[in-house]
Amino acid sequence: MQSPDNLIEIRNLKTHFKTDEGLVKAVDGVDLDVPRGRVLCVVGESGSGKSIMARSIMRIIQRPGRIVEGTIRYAAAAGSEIDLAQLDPIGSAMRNIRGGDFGMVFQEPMTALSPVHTVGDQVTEALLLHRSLDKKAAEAEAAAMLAKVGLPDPKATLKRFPFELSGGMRQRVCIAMALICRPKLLIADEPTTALDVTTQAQVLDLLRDLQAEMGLTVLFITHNLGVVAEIADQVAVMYLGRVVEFADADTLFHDPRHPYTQALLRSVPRPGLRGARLPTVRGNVPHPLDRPAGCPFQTRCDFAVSGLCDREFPVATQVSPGHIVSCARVGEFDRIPEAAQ
Amino acid sequence: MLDAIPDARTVERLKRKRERYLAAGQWTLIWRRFRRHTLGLIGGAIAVLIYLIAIFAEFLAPTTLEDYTAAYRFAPPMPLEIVHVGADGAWQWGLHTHPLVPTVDKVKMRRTLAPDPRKLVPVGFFVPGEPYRFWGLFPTDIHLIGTSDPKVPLMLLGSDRLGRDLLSRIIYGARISLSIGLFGVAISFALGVVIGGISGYLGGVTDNLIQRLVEILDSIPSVPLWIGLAAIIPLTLAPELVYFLITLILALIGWTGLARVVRGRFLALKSEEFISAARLDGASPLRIIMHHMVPSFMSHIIAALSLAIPGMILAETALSYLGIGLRPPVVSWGVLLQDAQNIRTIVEAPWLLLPGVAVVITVLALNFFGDGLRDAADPYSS
Amino acid sequence: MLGYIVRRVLLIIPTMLVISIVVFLVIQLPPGDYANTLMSTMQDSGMDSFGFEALRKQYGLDQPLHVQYGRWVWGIVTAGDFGYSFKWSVPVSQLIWDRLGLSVLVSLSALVLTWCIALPIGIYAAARKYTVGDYLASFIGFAGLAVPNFLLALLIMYAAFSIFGMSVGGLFSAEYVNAPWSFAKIADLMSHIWIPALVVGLGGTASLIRIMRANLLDELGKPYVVTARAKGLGETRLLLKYPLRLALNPFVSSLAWVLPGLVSGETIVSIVLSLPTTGPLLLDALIAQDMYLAGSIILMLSVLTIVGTLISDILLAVLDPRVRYA
Repeated sequence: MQSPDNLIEIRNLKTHFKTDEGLVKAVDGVDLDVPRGRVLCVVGESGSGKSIMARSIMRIIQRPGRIVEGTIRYAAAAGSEIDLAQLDPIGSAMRNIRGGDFGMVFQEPMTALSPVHTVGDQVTEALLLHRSLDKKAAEAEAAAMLAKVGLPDPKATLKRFPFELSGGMRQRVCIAMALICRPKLLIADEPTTALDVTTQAQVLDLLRDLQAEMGLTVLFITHNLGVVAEIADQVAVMYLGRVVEFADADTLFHDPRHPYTQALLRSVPRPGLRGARLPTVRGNVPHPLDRPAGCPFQTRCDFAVSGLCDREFPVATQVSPGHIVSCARVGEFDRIPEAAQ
Repeated sequence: MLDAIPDARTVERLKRKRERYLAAGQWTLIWRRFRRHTLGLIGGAIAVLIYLIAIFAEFLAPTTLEDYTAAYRFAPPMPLEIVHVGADGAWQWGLHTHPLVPTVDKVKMRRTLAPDPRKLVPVGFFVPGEPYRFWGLFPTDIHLIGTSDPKVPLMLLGSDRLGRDLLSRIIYGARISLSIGLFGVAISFALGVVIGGISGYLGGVTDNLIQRLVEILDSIPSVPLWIGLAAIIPLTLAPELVYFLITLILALIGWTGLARVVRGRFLALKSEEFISAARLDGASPLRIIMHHMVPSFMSHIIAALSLAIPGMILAETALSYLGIGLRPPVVSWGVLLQDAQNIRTIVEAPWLLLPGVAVVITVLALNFFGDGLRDAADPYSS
Repeated sequence: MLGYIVRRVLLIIPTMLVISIVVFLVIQLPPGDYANTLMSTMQDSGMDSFGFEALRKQYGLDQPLHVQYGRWVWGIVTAGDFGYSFKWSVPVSQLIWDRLGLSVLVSLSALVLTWCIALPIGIYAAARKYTVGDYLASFIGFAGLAVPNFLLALLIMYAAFSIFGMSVGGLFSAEYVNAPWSFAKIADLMSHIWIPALVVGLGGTASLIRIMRANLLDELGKPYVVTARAKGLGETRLLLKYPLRLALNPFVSSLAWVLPGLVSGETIVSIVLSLPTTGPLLLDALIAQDMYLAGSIILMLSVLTIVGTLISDILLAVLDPRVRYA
C-alpha cells in the first residue's frame, strides 16, 4: 500500500467482457485510492464503468466478464494487505471479505430483495454467515439495525415480506443488510437513483449519519452531481472506463481541471441561467467497441489536439496535493479558460 | 498500445457494413439469431428433407403402397452391398442385393427368409418398376431405386405380413402423417387466433369467460377425449372422410394452446407504450392490429405453430395405432404401427417398429426447429 | 390462506358441472345408442323391434337427452351411482373404482418419478449452462418428448422379452391378480409399477426439464441473486436458497397441466401394456357405446386432473407469499 490512509488501492484495473459482438473494455486501466473513513463519490455517465469497477472490487463480476489485469490492494488488518484481484472470486477468502468486511447496496430496491423470504431472514443471513451468532441473537441485532436505519416497528418488520414495504423502506432494509456485520467498506451503487427526491434526501442523511457513527469508508457511485455535492468528501470522475479526475469535493466544484468535469459542471441547471441555452457536452458517448485511441474524451472535447490527445491515454498528473487529472493539456494553463460562466 | 489506424476507405466500408448490420429488418434479425442455433438449423434441415420426401413420395419409394410379393412375407431387411466376393475369390463391383429364400432358423426353430449369398441381383437408380401416377397425375414407372429383376423386390427395411415393402409404405405414410400435422395445426391456428384474439383484445368479462371455458376444457385429459371423439367415427365411413374428421378432432382439442399464446400476446401488447403511442397518433384499430401488434407476435406464433405440429403428428399416430384413427387405404405411420401391436409379431419381425423411428426423427427435428425459432424470435432473450 | 383455499374448492363445482355436460354430449354424439349396438350384434336373436323398444324403455334410453343427463348427474351426486353398464350388466361403480384407483396410482407414480428426475437434471443444466452435461440433459429431455409413449412401452416389452425372456405387462404377477390386498400384493405392485410409470412419465420429464432450466436461468440473472452474492454466500447455497426457490413456482404450477398429460399417457400405455386400469375399459366402452361406463370414466379422470390443479394451486400459495396476499 502506498499510503496507510487508504483502505483500498486500485492500480491499472482492467475488466473486460468478451461478447459476441466484440471485446467490451468496461474498465480499462483504472487507478484509484479509496481513503479510509471518508466518502468517495465516483461520478460518470452510463457506460463509464463505475458500476463494473465497484463490482470488480467485490469480485462479483460474472461471465463473460473478468478482470484481465491490475491489482486491488486491500488493507485487511493492521500491516497486512491482500490483492483482491488475485483471490478466487468464489473461494472462502473472498467470500469472507464480501459481506463481512465489505457491504454493498444496489440501485433498485424493488428487485434487490428476494420476494419469497422475510426481511428478517435476509437481514440476518449475512450475520449468521460471517459471525458466529445463534438465531435469536442475530434477530436481536437485526432488529437493532432496522431501528438504526429508521424503520418503524423493527420487530414486526422482521417478519414481513419485501413486497409489503415501500421503495424507500426497502432501500433502508438493504442498507441495514449491508451494514449488519459492521463492515469496513460500504459500496453504494446509485442507491438513491430509483427513489423520489424526498426519500432520496432521507436516505442520504441516513448514510451520512451512519458513516459518521460507524467510521465507515463509503464508495458512493452516482451520476448526480447534486448528490455528490451533498455527501462527498472526495470525488473521482470516470469516463469510458478510466478515471479522468480525482479531487476532494470542494476542489472539484471550484477548480475542475479536466474538460469533461468542467463540461459536466457547466451542464447542471442553475437558477440565473434563465433564458440562456443549457450547455451540454457535445456529441455522444462512443460505442464501447469503437473507442478512440488515446484519451477517450477527445471526440467531444473542445480542447482536443490531434497528435497529442489521440496517441496515448494521458498520464495522471498531480495538479495539487490530492488533486489528480488525466489530461494531456493540463499543464498548459493554470485554469483552462471557460466559454461562459 | 496504439491501435493501428485504418485508412479512410476501410473505415468507410466498415461503417457501411456496421450500418447495414444495425439497420436490419425484423426477419433478418431473427434469421441471424436462428443461424447461430445449431440444433435449430439441423432440425430445420431434417424437417425440410422429410417434407420433400413426402412430396416426392411416389418417385422415391422403391415400389407402390399396396404392391406385394407373396413369397416375401415378413421378409427381413434386404442387404445392399457394393462389392461381392465370389466363390472363386474374385471381386465383383456394383450395387446389388441378394434375393431371399426360405430357410430354417435353427436357433429360434422357425421358418424365416434369408438372403441367398450365391445369387446376385443388381440394384440401380432410376429403374423401371411398378407403375404409378406421380402426384396422381403423371403416369410413369420410374423409381429412384430398384432391382433389375422384376421378380425380386427391393425391401431395404423388410416387409409386413402381406409381403408389402415397408420402406415404400413408410415413405407414403410420411405424406399422410405430415399433412395431418399441417392441416390440423392450420385449423387449430385459425380457431386459436380468432378466439385468443377476441379474448385478448376485448379483455374484461368476455376474456374472463372465455378463459374459464378454456381452462375447463383443458382439464379434460386429452387422450380419453380423443378416444371418445374418434370412436364416434363409424367403421364404414369413407377413408378420406375419416382423414378429414380425425384432423378436425385433433385440431379441436389442440387450439387451446395457441389461443393462450395469442391472448397472452394481445394482453401484453395492449398495455405496451408503443401501442398507446400509435393510438394517440390517430391510427385506426385495424392499423394498430395489423401494422403494430401482429408483427410483434408473428414470430412467437410461428414458433408456437412449429412446436404444435409434432404434437399433432404424435396424437394422430397414437390414435391410428389404437385402431380408432386413420384406416387403410389411408396409411399413416400410426396405421403402419398397428402391425406391431402384439409382442409376438414384434419379436419375429422387429423391423415393423421402424415407422416409429420415422415418427421420432420427425418429431425431434420439428421440435429442435421450433425451439430454435422461438429462441430467435424473442428479442429479449440472451 | 384459508379463504384462498375455500374459494378454489368452491370453483370446482361449476367446473365439474360444465365438464359433465361436455362429457355427456361427447358420449351422445355417435348416432344411435346401446340398443342399436345390441341390435347389430344380436341380429339373429329373434328379438323384434318391440323387444328393443322395451329394452330402450328399461334403460331409460327413450327419454330426452337432458332428462338422461339429469338422472345421471343426480345419481352420482346423491348416491355415488354412476349408472349402469349395458355391456357388463353391472352398475358402473362396481367396475370403475378398482381400476380408477390403479390409474391414479400409476399416474401419481409417473408424476413423482417425473419430478424426481426432472428437478435435479433441470437444476444441473441451468447451473452448468452450455456444458456437456447441459446438452446431455437436453438430449434426454428431447428423447422423452419425441418417442411416443406407446412406442416406448412396446420397445420395453420387446427388450424385456428378447433379452430377459420375461413378459412385462400387467401390474401384478399371476398369483396376485385376484388375490385380496396384502402387503405382499402391494410389494408385487411396486415391483411392476415402475415400468408403466417410467414410460408414462418420460414425456412430461422432457418439458419439465426445459421449464426448470429456463426459469432457473431467468432467475439466476436477477438482482436479488447479486445481492445474495454480495453478502458472501457460496454459489451452491446461493443457488439453492434463492433462485431455485423462485424457479420452483412455475415448476409446481406445472402440475396443473402435467397431470392431465400423465393421465392421458396412462390411458394409452395401459392399453398397450394391458394394465388393469381405466384405459382398456374406456376403449371398449366407447366402441360399444356403453355410455354410462365411458362417460363416468372420462368424468372421473377429469376429476383427477382438477384435484391435481387444486393441489398445485395450494402448493403454489404455500411456496409463494405473493400469491397468498394478492
